[in-house]
Amino acid sequence: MLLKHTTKEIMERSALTVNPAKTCQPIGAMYAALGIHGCLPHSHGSQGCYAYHRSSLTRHYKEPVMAATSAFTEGSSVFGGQANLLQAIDNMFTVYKPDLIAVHTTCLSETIGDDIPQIVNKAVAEGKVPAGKYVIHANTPSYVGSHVTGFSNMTKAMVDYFAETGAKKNKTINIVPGYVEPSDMEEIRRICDAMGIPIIMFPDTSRVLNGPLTGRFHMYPAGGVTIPELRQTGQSMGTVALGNLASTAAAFALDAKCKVPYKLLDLPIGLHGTDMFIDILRNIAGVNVPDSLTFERGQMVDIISDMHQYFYGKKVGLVGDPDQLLALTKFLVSLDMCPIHIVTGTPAGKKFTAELREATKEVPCDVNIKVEGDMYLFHQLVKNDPVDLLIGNSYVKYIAKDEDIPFIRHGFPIFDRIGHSYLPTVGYRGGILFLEKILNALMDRQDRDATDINMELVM
Amino acid sequence: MTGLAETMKEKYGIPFIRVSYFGIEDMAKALYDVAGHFKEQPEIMEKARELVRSEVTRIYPELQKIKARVCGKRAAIYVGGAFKAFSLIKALRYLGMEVVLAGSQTGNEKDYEILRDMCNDGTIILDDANPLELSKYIIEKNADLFIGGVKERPIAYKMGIGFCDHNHERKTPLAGFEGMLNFAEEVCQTVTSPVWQFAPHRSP
Repeated sequence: MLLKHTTKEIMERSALTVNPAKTCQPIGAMYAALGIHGCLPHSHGSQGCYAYHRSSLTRHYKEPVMAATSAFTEGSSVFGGQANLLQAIDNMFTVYKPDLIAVHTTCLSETIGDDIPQIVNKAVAEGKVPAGKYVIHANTPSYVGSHVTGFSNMTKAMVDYFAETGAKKNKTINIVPGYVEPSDMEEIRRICDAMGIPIIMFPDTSRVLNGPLTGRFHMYPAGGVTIPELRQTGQSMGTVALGNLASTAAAFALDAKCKVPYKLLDLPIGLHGTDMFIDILRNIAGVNVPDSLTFERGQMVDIISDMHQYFYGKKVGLVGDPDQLLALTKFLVSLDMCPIHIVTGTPAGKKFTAELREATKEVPCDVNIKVEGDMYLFHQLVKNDPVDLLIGNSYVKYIAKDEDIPFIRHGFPIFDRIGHSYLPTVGYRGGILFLEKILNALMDRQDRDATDINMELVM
Repeated sequence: MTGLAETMKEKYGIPFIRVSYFGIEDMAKALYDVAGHFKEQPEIMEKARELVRSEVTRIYPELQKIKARVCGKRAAIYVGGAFKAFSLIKALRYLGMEVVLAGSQTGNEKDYEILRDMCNDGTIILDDANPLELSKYIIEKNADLFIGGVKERPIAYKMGIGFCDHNHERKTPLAGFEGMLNFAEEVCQTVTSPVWQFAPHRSP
């Protein structure tokens, strides 16, 4: 009972967060930056920040995560970090030879007020940035938003720094995949390939953070969106932005900068979410949906129909990131499940809360939605109204253990299981995998709790 | 079962009553018929009445809620014995559902006469049907629910309609008053499932 001090009684709290259901902006910015080929993310702050972000990403992906830091000392905390960043840029390009450096700020440098573009201009003027190499930046103060905001800011920076308006439009479609796993990005690309649509996906962490064992260490793995591709995003036919919180900023910026229209969709999780995604792609590109995708869709519907009695009426508690929560909630409702506790630590706004309300309006139970809640509150909600299944990141395992509730891991971070980097949640195939996870969790529990008489061989 | 009872009556003179324990109507009738047999012990009838009253009162509110959700849905029944089909028709009607197909594997001529009388005009009645026949008529009649045995389940699902399993390996009872409630809940759960909106022939 590691969380034995969590009380059932819920007290009003306004100024205290206990066990936050989010992490800080730079982690998301670092993750997004790793989705550019040949990029070295750089944390403009003290060493503690970067060490924590790197180790979180390393533990989540079980892959090498390369990044650098301005290594603020007491002096830089007082006088600003210009000298450190100039030195860092010089060192990085000399020693580690990235194609570009993606600088994100931290609480400390934001509070000091360091002006990153000014410092970078100075580095360029001093010849510290070799020809054909780039330094981009995003402001990511951690006291604003969450890791999702940081991801969004760095993705937008890719547009701000690289997108170019061209004389003619290309046949490509831009995909801003949102804060999803490398496996999801890979699956999104596979779907687009199957439809015969050339895409530019940014960021793209597939083949960066889910690579094979090859016997060699690569500082810059094979994957990631390239700088030429990022330039061409300005000439694409359109942009599909997946997930409002993580992707709208970049898509909007591209529209404003290069007149590339965008469509905003939920993450393509679940049947309906994937249908919408494929439908939009079909419309923008003017192609037909190939039989191979229709077949996969049919298989997914088949599994849901075969097992619908096991989903029916099961109560679920979810905690995680807004874009994921919205798509997952809609998916669960379409399975006849009852998501009754939905908590995110990210300040996602009233519109998001209203969308969740709308998504759960047919759920025949009281639904608790807390936007900017924490894990402590989530646990209290679960204590007051127990559920059949918990969905969340690894930290939820303590709640699952104490309350003895089946639990599936989804979101960030997942430190204690594998799979998320390699097996998608998006698309029809991802949907099938997610259905399997839900069913395994529920059925393992049914078997565990079955009496000798009620044990079922056939389920 | 009837064959066994007939033989026992013939050989040993043990009387028998044909009853069904499925559905409120038939379950109550079964209790009354048995109580009626013991004419010299009227307290048995008293107890039967009391039992039916308390059981029906107990499950009635829940059944009404379910009825509101499944009323007007169309059902197809294909079971082993015709006698079970009779009860199922009554139970489904109690829930406001319409039976558009009824059939059995082992019904005899007399059974089908009763079945014809029970069913509305236009109801398809099948004897010893095969999956192709069943699927043809289920689609034709636009059924929302299929009640059958283990091997029919995936057939129903492939067509995108709900299913209720009426086989002898079940562990959740469908017999008795409690069973009627279980039955209604299972029917409701499957016919109202959101998954069917994704089935091709249901799409507008």
